[in-house]
Amino acid sequence: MDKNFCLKESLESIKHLLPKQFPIKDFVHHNTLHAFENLPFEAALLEASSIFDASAYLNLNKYRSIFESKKIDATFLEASIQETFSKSFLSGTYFHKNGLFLVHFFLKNYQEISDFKSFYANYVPKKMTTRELGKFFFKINQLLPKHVSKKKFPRMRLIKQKKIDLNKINRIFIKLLSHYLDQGISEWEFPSAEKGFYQGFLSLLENNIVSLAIFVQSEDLTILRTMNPEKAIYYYLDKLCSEDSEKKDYIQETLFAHIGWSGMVSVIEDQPHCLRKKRPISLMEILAVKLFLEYELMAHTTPSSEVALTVFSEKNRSFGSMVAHHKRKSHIASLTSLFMQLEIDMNIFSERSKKNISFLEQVSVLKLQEVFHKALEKAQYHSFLAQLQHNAKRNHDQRNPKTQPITAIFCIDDREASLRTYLEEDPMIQTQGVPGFFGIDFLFQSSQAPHPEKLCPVTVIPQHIVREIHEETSFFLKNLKNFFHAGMNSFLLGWIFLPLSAPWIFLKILMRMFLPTTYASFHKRSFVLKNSRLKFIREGDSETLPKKGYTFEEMAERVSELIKIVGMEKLSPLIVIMGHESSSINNPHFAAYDCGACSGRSGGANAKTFALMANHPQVRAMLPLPEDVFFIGALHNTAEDTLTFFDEKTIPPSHQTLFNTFKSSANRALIKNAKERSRRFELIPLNTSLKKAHEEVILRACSLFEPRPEYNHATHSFCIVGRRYLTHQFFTDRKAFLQSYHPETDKNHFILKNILNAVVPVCTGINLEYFFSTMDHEVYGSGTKLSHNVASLLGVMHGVNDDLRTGLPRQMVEIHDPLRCLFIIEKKPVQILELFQSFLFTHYFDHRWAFLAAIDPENASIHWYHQRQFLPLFLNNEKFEISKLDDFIKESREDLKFGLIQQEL
Amino acid sequence: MSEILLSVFFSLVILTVLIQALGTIFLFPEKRQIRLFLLGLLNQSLLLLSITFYFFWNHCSVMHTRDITLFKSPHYDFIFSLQLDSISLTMMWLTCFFVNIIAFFARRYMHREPGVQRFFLLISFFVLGMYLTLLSPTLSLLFTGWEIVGISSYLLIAFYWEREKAVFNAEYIYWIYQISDLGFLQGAFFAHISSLHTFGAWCTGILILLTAFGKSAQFPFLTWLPKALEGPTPSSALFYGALSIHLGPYLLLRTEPVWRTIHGFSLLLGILGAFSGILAYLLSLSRSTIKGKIAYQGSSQIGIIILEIALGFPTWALFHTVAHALYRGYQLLEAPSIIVNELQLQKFKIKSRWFFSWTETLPKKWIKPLYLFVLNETCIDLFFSYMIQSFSKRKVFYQLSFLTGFVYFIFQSESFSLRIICTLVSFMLLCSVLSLHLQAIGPFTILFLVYLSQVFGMAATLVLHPQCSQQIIACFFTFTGSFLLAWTALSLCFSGRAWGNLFRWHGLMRYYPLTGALFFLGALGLTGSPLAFTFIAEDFMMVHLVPCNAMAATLACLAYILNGASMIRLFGFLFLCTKPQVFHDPLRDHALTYFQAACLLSAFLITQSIPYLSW
Repeated sequence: MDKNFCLKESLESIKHLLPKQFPIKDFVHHNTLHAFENLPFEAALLEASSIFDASAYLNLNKYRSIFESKKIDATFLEASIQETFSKSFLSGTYFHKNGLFLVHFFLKNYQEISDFKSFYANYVPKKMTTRELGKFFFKINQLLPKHVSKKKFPRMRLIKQKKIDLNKINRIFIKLLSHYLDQGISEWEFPSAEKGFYQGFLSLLENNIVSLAIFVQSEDLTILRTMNPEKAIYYYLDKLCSEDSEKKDYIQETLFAHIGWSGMVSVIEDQPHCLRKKRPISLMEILAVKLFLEYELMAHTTPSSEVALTVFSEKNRSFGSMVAHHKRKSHIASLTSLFMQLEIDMNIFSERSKKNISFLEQVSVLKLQEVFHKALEKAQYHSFLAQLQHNAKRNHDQRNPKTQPITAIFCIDDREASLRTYLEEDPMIQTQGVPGFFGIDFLFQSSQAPHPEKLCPVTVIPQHIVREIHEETSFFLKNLKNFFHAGMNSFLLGWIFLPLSAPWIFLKILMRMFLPTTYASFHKRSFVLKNSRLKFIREGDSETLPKKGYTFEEMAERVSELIKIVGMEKLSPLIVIMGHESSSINNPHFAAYDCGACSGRSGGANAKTFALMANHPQVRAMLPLPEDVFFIGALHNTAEDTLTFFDEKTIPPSHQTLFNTFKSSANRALIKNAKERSRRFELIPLNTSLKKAHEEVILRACSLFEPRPEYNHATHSFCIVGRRYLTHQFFTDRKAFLQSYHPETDKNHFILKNILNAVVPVCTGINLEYFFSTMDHEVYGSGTKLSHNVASLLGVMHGVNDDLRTGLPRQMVEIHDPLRCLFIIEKKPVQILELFQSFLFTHYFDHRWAFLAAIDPENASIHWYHQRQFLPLFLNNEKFEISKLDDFIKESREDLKFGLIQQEL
Repeated sequence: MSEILLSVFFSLVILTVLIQALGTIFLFPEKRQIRLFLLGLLNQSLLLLSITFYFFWNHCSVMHTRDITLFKSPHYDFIFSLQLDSISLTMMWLTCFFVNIIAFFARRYMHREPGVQRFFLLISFFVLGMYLTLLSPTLSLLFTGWEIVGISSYLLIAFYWEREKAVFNAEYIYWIYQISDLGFLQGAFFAHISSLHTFGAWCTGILILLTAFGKSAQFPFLTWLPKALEGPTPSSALFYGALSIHLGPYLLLRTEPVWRTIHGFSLLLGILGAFSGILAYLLSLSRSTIKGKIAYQGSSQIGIIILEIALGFPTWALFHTVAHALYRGYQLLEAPSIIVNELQLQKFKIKSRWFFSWTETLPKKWIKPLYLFVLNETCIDLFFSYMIQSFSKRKVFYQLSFLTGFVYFIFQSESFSLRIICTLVSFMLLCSVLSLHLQAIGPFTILFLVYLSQVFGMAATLVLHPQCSQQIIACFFTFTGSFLLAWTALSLCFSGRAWGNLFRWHGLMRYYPLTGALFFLGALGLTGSPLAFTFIAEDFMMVHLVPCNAMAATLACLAYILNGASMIRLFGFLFLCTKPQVFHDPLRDHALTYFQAACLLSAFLITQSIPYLSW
C-alpha cells in the first residue's frame, strides 16, 4: 500500500463533503454545508462555493431589489461596510471618499453618484465601446496578481489530455446504481442484489453474453474479480493517476461527478436501515466500479501504455489551474461589469499603485455581496428585536398570567405561530409551544402504512414501538385492487383492459382536474385514524429493541417532562395537544412539509399517544396532576388549515362545554390563519373573503396541479425561547419558532439546556437548508420542481439517468429571504454563558451559523451574543402598532413589518 | 357549410398561435397569456362541437374544404385544403380534450415559472401541428403538420435550455424525428410509382413504417422516449403520454389503403408491432425512474395497437388509442405521486404482476443476460454511440470517399452533368454534417456548407428540368433570404467578440432571445423545413427529381434531413445551455437587439414572399 495515500482516510474526508440527504420519503431538513460547521460562516461559504462551484451569496441585483422593496435604512449598509472593510483599507484608494459611495451606487441613487462623479471629474469617462471594454478587461487581468490554484484537478486534466469524456460513464453508472438501489419502481429486481453492489455488479457481468458497454473487456473483468473493492481502487487508481498526491483529488472528482448519488450511497452505508429493501452498498464499492469503468473507457480508446495521466508539471500548469483560471475570468468579468455600471474609467488603474491593486483584489463582487447580506440580516434582526422589546415591555405585567380554562400545546413550528395568535383572540385559551413530538420517542406502526415509521427527532434513536390496531382489508377488495392494477399495467391484458376502462379514466381525469376537493375526500389517507385503538402499554417484558409500548413509569416520566418544560404552575382543565402535518398531492417532497421534530412525518400519532398516556388512570396515579385536567390529542393540517381531534368520544361530560368552546374558536382561528397564509399566494386575491381564502387553501392542498400547496418554512428566521408574554399579541409574520420556557422556575438551567439541545439543531437545520437552497438553487437546491422525476423511490432527478438532486426545489424557497436564524432566549445573559460552558452546540453561535440574543426577563433589555460574551444592544426603533390585523395583512404580499397588535377592547 | 366550419376552425387555431407568439415576444403578464390561451381553446372546442354535430347530421360523410393553391406553376401546384372523416374527428376530440386538460393543469402548475409564455406558445403551436396532421388530405400537408409537432417537441424538451442534458436529449430526439421524416419524404414520392412494381410498393410501405415507428417510439427507435421527458410534466404528458406519441398508429390508419394492398406487408407490420411491444414491455419492467417506466409502458401498448391495426381491427385500434392516450397522459401527470402511491400499494401488498412473476420462472442462465440487455435499454444506444464514435475518428474519411465513390457508381449510367452534381451534393452535405463531429470549422462555414448543398440540389433540378428555371430561381431567392437571415443573426451576435471554440455551449439565448428565435427560423427556412416557404421549393425539387432517379431523390432527402439536424445542432451550440463568460452590457444590447430584430424580420418577410412576387 502507498505511504502517501490512504484510501480510507481520503474517502472519509470526501464523504464528509457529500450531501447527507435521506431517501426522500424520510426527508429531514439539515444543514446543507454540515461539513463546514467548524469554520466561521463566511469562510465556510467561500470554501464551499469553490468546492461545489456554487454562488456564495445572492445576485447583487437580487439584494438590490430586496433593499428597494423593503425600504431598509442605508445606515445598516454603512455599518456593514465599516465592519467588513477596515478604515485604512478604504482610505487612499480611488474609493476613499467614504463607504457611502458604494451604498449609493448599490441602491442606484444616481444623484449621489453624480455628485461623486463631479468630485472625480477627471476620471469619469464617456460611454465605452466594446473595444475599450476589451482593453479594460485586459487591464484588470494584467493587474490582478495570478493565483495558482492549489488544486490540480487531475481528472479534468486527464479528460483534457486524452480528449475522452470520462463523464460519458455517468449515464451507464447511474443506471446500474439506481437499478441496484431501487426501492419499488422497477418490477424486475437487480439479480443477486443481496451480495452487495460490487459483487452484484461482478456476478451480473460474469460470463454474460450481453456486454455492459462496448468498452468493457471481459479479460479485465476477470482481473477485477480477483480483487476486493479496496484493492481494485488502488489498482485502477494507479493506472489512471499515478501521482500519490493527486489521488485524493481524483477520487473526489470522480465521486463529485454524480454528487447526489454518491451522497445517497454514503447515507445508506451509514444507516442501512433507512432502506426497506436491503441493499448493502458502500462508497468504496461504487468507487471501485466507477474507476474500473473509467479505466476501461480510457483503455478502449487509447493504447494502454498511454492511459495514465502525465505527471503534473510546470509546463502544463495552465491545464491544472484551468478551473482557477475560469473562476478568475468570471471574477474579472464581474468586476468589469461593476465598474462599467459605475461608469468609472479603468485608466485610474494604470499606475500600478499598491493600494489600487489590493482594492481590486478585495472589492470583489463577493465582498460586496457579503456587505449587503450582512446589512440585510442586521436590518431584519434589529427591527424584529426592537418590536419584540416593545412588546415585552407592554406585556411586562402579564409575565405570569393566570391560568386560562383551555391550554393548547403546539409544536414550535413557525407555521403555528399565526394560528396561536388567532386562537388567543379568545380570552379563554392560552397556547404553549414545545417540539412537535411531545417527548414521545417511538416507532409507530400505522394501520395505513406498510412499515413502522420513526416519529421523533432524527438525533434520537427510538426504543419503543406503538402499533395501531387495524382491520384486515377484505380479501375480495384486496384481490379486486390487485386484479385491476395488474390489468391496467399488464402487457397482455392491457389491450382489453385499457379500452374497457376508458370511461372510468375519463371520469377520473375530470374529477381530479375540476373537482379536486371532492376527489380528495374520497381518497383521504390519514396516517393515524381518528378513533383507532393503539397498543401503547407494554406487553410482556421483552428487552429486545424496539420495546413494545411503554411501561407506566416511562409514560409518567414523559408526561411530567412536558409539563415541566411548559412551566405552568397550575394546569388548565382542558389541554389540547396539537400535532401538525401537511397534506399535499403530487409532491415528492411531501416529507419536507410535515413536522420536523417527527423526522418529517405527521405529528398526529404523537399527540394522540400523549393524550392517551396522560389520561390513563395508572399514569395519573403517579403524577401530581389535578383530577379535573383532561388531555385531548389533535392534529393541525397546515396546508389545508383543518383540525382533527382524536378520540373525541372519550371526553368526559364535564369537559364537553370547554371542548365545544375550543372547537368553535379553533375553527374561527383556522379560517383567519388560512387568510393570512393566502396573502403569499399570488393566485388568491388579497382582498378575498375569509371563507373563500380557506376554500382556496384547501383546494391547493388537494390539487394534482399545485406545485405550492404551502410555503412551508419559507421566510422563517427567528426562534424565541421564552414565556408567551414576549410574543403575545405580536405579529411575527410567521417567521418565528416559538418555544415555551419559564426562566423563573428553571433554577439550574437544566430545562433550558434540554430545550436548546433539541431546538438549536432542528431550527438551524431547517433554517440553513432554506438558506443554502435559496442562495444557489441549482447547486444546493434541487432546481425547478416542474420537471422532477422520481428515481428509485430515493430522490428526484431531472429527466432520466441524471444525478439525484438534493436540497429544496425552487418553488419552496422562492419567497424566502436567506437570513441566518436568530435565537432569542429569555434569560439573564450571565446565566446563558454559564450554561454554554457545557453546551454541545455553541459552535453554531461562535461561528455565526446562527445568532443569539438574550432578553432579560426582568427589564426586557437585549444583549447580543458575540464571541463568547454578551454585549448590550440598544435599539431605537419606534414602536410599530397594528391597529387591525385583518386589514394589515391585506396590504401586501411581501414581508410585512413586525409589530404589536393592539388589543381589542 | 362544412367548408366554412372547417376553415373558421383552422383559422382560429392559427390565430391562437399568433396571439400566443405576440404574448411571448412582448412578454404579456402570465395571467393574460393563459387567459387568451384558454379563450382560444374554448372557442376551438365549441367549433369542434358544431363541426361534430354537422358531421353526424350529414350522415358522417367526409367534410372538405375547397382547394386553395398556395403556389402555382405549369408543372407543380402546392395545394392547401382540409378534410375531415371519422378517424380524424375521433383524434381531434382526443386532442381537444387533452389539450384542455393540460391547459387547465398548466394554468396553476406553470405559475411563476420563467418562460411560461413560451410554454403556452409552444403548446398552441403543437395544437396547430396536431390539427393540421389530422385534417390534411395530402401528404405534403400532413408532413407539414408532422414537422410542426416535431419542432414543438424539440423546443419543449429543451424548455429548460440552461441544462445541458435537456438540450442534448432534445437534439437526439430531433435527430430521430429527422430520420423518421426521411421515410415520410421518400415514402411520399415512392408512392407515385407504387402502382408500377412491387418493389416500389414495398419501399413505400417500409418508409411509412419507418415514419410511424419513429414518431411512436417503436422498435429501432425505442429508446428515445424516456429521454424526451425533460420538459415540465404537463408537456411530457401531452406529447409522450397522450398525443404526439399516438401519431404513428394514426398514420398507419390513414395510409391503410396504401399498405393494405401490399402482399405480406401487414404480416411484417404485425410482427414488428408485437416485437416492439414485447421489447418495450421488458424495458418497462426494469426501469428505476417512474417517468421512464411509464414511457416504456406506453410504447409497449402502442406496439399492441399497431398489431391490432395490422390484424385488421382499425376501429378497436382507434378506441384503444384513445383510451390509452387518456390513461398514459394521466399517469404521467400523476407521476410525482409515485412515492405515496407505492406506499399504498405496499400496504395492500399489490404487485403489478398478478399471480406470478414470469421473470422468476425464466431459466437461471437467461436472467442475467436478459437483465443486462434490458438495463442497457436494448443496447441500441451503445450501437449509436459506437457509430458516432467511429464517425468522429479518422475512419470518417474512408467512409466519405467510399460514399462518394458509391454515388459516382450509381450515376454512371446517367448524364454527365447529373453525375457531377450529385457527387457534389453528396459531398457537400456530408461535409456539413460531419464537420459538426469533426469539430473543425466554425459556424459560418457550416452555414455556408448547408447553403451550398441546397444550392447544388437546386442546380441538379435545374439541369434535369431546364423548363422550370423560373421557379428554381425563385426558390433560390428564398434560400438566399433564409441564408442571409441566419448569417446576419449569427454575425450580429458575435460582432466585436472574440470567437472561441464553437464546440462548447455558448448560451447566447440569455442575451439575445430574439436573435436566437430569428436564427432558429432562418435555419428552418434554410433547411427547407415545412414551416417556411422554402418547403415549397424543397417539395418542388423532390417532385421533379423523383421520376428521373430514385437515388437522386434519396440524396436530396438525406441532404434535407442531415442539414436540418446540423442546423439544429448549431443552434443548440450557439444559443442554448450554460452560462458563457462573455461580457455583457444589457443596455447596449437591448437597443441592438431591437434594431437587429427589425432588420431580420423584414429580411425574413421579403424573402418569404419572393415566390409570390416573381409570378
